[in-house]
Amino acid sequence: MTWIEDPAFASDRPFGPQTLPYGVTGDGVAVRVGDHALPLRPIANSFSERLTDLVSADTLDPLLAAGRPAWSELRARLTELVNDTVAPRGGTLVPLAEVSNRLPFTVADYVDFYCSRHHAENVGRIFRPNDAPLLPNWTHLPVGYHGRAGTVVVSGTDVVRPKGQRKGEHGPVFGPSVRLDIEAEVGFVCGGPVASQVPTSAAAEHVFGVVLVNDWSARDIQAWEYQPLGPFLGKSFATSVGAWITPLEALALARVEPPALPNEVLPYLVEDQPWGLDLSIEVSWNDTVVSEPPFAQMSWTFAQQLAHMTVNGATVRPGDFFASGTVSGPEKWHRGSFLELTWSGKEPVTLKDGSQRSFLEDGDTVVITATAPGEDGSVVGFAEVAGTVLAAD
Amino acid sequence: MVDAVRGHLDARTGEYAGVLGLFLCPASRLPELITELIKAKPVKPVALSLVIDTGLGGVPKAVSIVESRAELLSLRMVEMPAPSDVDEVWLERVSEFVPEDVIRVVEPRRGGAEWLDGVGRVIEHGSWPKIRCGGLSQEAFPSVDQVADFLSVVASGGVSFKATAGLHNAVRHTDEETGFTHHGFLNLLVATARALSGKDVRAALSETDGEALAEEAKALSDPAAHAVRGVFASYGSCSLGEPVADLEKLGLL
Repeated sequence: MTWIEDPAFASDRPFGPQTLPYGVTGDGVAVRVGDHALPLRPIANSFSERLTDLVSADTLDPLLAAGRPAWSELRARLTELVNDTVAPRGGTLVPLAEVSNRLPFTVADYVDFYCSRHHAENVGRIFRPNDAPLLPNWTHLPVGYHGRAGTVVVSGTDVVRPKGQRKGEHGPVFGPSVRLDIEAEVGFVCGGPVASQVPTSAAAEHVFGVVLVNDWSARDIQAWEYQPLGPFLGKSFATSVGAWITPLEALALARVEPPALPNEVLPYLVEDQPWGLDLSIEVSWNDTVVSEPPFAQMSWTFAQQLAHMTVNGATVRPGDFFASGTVSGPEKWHRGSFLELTWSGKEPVTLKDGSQRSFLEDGDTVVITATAPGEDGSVVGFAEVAGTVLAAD
Repeated sequence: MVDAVRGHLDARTGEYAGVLGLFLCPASRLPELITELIKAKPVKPVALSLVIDTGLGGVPKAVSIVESRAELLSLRMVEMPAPSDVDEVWLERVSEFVPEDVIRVVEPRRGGAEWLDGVGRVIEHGSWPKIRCGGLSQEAFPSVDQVADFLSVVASGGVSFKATAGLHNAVRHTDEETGFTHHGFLNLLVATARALSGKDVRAALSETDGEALAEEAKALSDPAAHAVRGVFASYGSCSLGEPVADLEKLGLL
């Protein structure tokens, strides 16, 4: 028996000893055990010398910079500590209900990809009905754009409805977005040495862990502004991320081969041991589960995304953050955005309370959760990413 | 897994049992292996090399699963990938987790100047370094120079190493379908012999004449052959048939 008395800290629960995600409390770096946080500063003496400062920090930034050998060593040591029968000296559990969410790391550069074929095809059909749904480059490279790092917010942060320009019958109209949407995505937190041209085989040395992402999107603003240079103000007002980062090492059993592309890819994008990940995502809209996007259906993996992002000589540095792009699968109930789910508002969804929705209304709350297969039939959890829409100022 | 288990058990009692090494299984697939072995009922435990794909923290658990199945599995080797800048602390944890009589094989990811330093640290630590010789992209195939550099570090340390991937044929050749040039395991063997006797390692690695390599291997004295096998101790292959066929063709078996 472990010293951690929390029924949620069991291997058949998402935040059991198989997961051990990292976050930050008022006491600095912590690891999540079930429904508790275990702050690491008070037990810093239980770690090797080089880990002491990393686990005693206010944020995960020093740990991110430390790199894979330290990450691997820390997880191995934590696995021992949380499975022990007695608490390490100074070890105190804090119920999560008493912990307010904090963004656990300083977001450096933020990149958002567009790597679900089903999403790209759906959006292509909606935004460009007269063209082929997929542009010709899509199967040859992971399409992405640089987002706004400064507006990445932690789960639980309210999202104020953005204002901006949209297309009107007689020229542009200014006002609060009338087509506010979500995008269910999976994000990757980078660390390790600053590097460029990162081969797919080295991805695990630069990716610390995984968080769920909600890339809030104002579709009316986006539709008017996005050509020719891509997404801008329709996206940059807020991107929410989970408060706890699930370490990459927890996902060994979740690895899958991504669906094949119709063409060969250039050598720098070839993966020897593919990093497709079998996350099952759930999207709730005011407590009604409206979608279950399958991450295993993504065409490009994070290792390919990182290889692509750095192949031109651009560096990746600790704190860089990149997201997968909206996760959608082949079925209607797999769609990871409301734009697709309601087919641009034409097919509204009905929530549990009987109300109908096409896009987000003020006061609506969206919660995204996910699990992945873990060892011995366990599931590895990902901290929820939640947000409530507030009326435009 | 069914085919792998059956193939291994058959080969164990087959004509070429003498060249058959350990059964390799990733830690993430241990439960599957155990299920198959329970069905197959091996007469003696399968000698296992456990390939850790669950991270450093996954080692103790995987080792204890294997040890709890002593009637089915006998743990001989634990293999782990490592960052190219693998350090002493990390290696120290590996040795804490792996029983003393089990061989530790560590593969620092190839790439950058720090790779050979990583290989050096693995050796200093008393583990076997592993070199990956192929894969699905050109980048996965180390150049002749890189293999030669690896061999020079290993030979000067006088320790064993393991090679893996892309080595199912004896002699260096270019695969017509993929266009990738594969290293040959016989090239590696002869190159190891040369590394131990101060001869031209690069030429042996580049050699595509199987007969010439076979002649040189046959001409090794017994002590020299033993020394070579002490260093080039093991390599991984998903097929037993292909290497055996190559060796027979070259008159080495």
